[in-house]
Amino acid sequence: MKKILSWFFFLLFLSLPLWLPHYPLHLACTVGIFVILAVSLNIIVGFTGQISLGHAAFFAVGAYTSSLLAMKFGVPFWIGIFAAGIVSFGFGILLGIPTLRVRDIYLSVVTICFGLMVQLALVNLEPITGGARGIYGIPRPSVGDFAFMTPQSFYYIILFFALLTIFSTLRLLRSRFGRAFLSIRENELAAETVGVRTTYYKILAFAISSFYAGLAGSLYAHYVSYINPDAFTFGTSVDVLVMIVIGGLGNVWGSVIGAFVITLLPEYLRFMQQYYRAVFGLGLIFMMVFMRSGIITVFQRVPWARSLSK
Amino acid sequence: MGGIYGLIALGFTLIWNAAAVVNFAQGEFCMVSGFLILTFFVHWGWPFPAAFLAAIVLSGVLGVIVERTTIRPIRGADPLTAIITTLGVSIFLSNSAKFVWGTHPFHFPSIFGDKPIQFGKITLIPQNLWIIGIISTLVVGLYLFFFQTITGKVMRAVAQDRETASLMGISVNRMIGMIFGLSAVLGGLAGILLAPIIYVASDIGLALVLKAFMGAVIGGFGSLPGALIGGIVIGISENLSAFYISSDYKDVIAFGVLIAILIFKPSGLFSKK
Repeated sequence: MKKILSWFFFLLFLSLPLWLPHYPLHLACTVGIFVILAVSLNIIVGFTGQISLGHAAFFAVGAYTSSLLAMKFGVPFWIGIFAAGIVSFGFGILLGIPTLRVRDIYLSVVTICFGLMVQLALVNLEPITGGARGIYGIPRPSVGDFAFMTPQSFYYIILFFALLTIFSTLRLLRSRFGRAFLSIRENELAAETVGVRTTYYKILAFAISSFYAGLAGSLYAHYVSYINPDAFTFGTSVDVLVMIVIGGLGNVWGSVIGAFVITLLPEYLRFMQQYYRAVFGLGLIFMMVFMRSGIITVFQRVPWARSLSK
Repeated sequence: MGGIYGLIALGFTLIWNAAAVVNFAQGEFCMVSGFLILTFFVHWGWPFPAAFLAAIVLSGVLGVIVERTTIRPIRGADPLTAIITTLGVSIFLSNSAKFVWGTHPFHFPSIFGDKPIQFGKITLIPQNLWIIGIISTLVVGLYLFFFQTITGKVMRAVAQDRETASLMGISVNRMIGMIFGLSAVLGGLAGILLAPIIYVASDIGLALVLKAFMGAVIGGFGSLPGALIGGIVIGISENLSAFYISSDYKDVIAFGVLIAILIFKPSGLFSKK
């Protein structure tokens, strides 16, 4: 059953560009990018148990790295995206260092500050980042003569990286690293006592998570081909955090569901127009009061879906 | 400016001590009361004291309502749940304010006059003197309240240890409700004092709460005098770095300093540890 279901979903997502109209497909691409972001944030928050409210910073670092490389040095997307990931990885180590000494509430303040600093730097370093106007005309990727100009073709690039993120994260969790992350979440002191190098793994969690966020940033920049600091605000960090919490903290598929819900909800609730954000706030409170452990728990009650949500 | 951040930070810390919740909606109390006094005083032409009192009381009521409807049901949940909940409250309040008062920022007339007074070489603006005066009175009042009255002492008991307090026959729920009311009043007061300095808009809440949060953290989270001082430090350093270094980078510098402080003194400047 699980196998059939997995194949069904795989083929469904593979075939989306064949039958979805232009706009819904654009949404599917956006969802894909946010899936990567949410799954990556889950590595820090859900698995390692550290609070981060500055994830948009890594998204921004990735987006600006690969678009600047492409615009100023003509570096192709395929190299740029990994450069973006690696630069983000570096920033992740940078932000990971305070976690050695700073905990809980203090850590959330450090991550907020880090996010705001990166955003302000993007606005103010005008000669490099284009300031508040941002960068436009970022080229779409291409292979030989074929350029991924349409959402139909770009969708496959995003799908590839989203699947890569999901499955490598699942694999990571079953490895030595994943078990170390979980042990830090459950009880840091106990983990240290049994010989887990907690400082090393905490920094590593931030760095790995940032790597994926950098990939997402690069995809975003090359997909919409225009970036400015407004896309990487504190609000973006909050949205990603909301995705993983309402989806189900510490569950990869939960993050995927959360990314779908939060990205698609405003589209389905269009009729509410300007009331949407207020209703969204209200909905968030209701979720936290009545369904704290996330949407994924609903699936866990259904027998055939249980195996998927592990 | 620093004193106002201090006030917000104070309310923020009160709630943290009592309910172990990081209240991201604290800035919205300022925003709402700023709008209320704008409506009462400017639009409806009430006398200032009446408008002032009404705005303060209503924000206190708002604080109690927020506690009853959102904080009480999630008490004891993990910090992340609490963060998301108060962020939800903040999003809800600031966007609801948009329907009532629109998205445009409003200018608020100066209440105490802005003709400068000369003291030798120092120039002072009456409004700022008033703010300093009000905040100092308030701090003394709060001190007396917390150390001299039964209600104040009970509130401190709840903040110290909820379980023991309830064993002593204190109604913890009622006290936490009252603490929310009190800190919403503080936030409301900050909002009113702030209105003539900046402007009144539906989206100021989050920026204010972030500053106050940082102030509270610098002061050693959980310490009330620390919160006040931390808020003042944030306000002063923000203005000084804007003046001496560059207004574009003032926030970058402030955040950098904060991160540095936290790395070297992981639980704030005034912590006991």
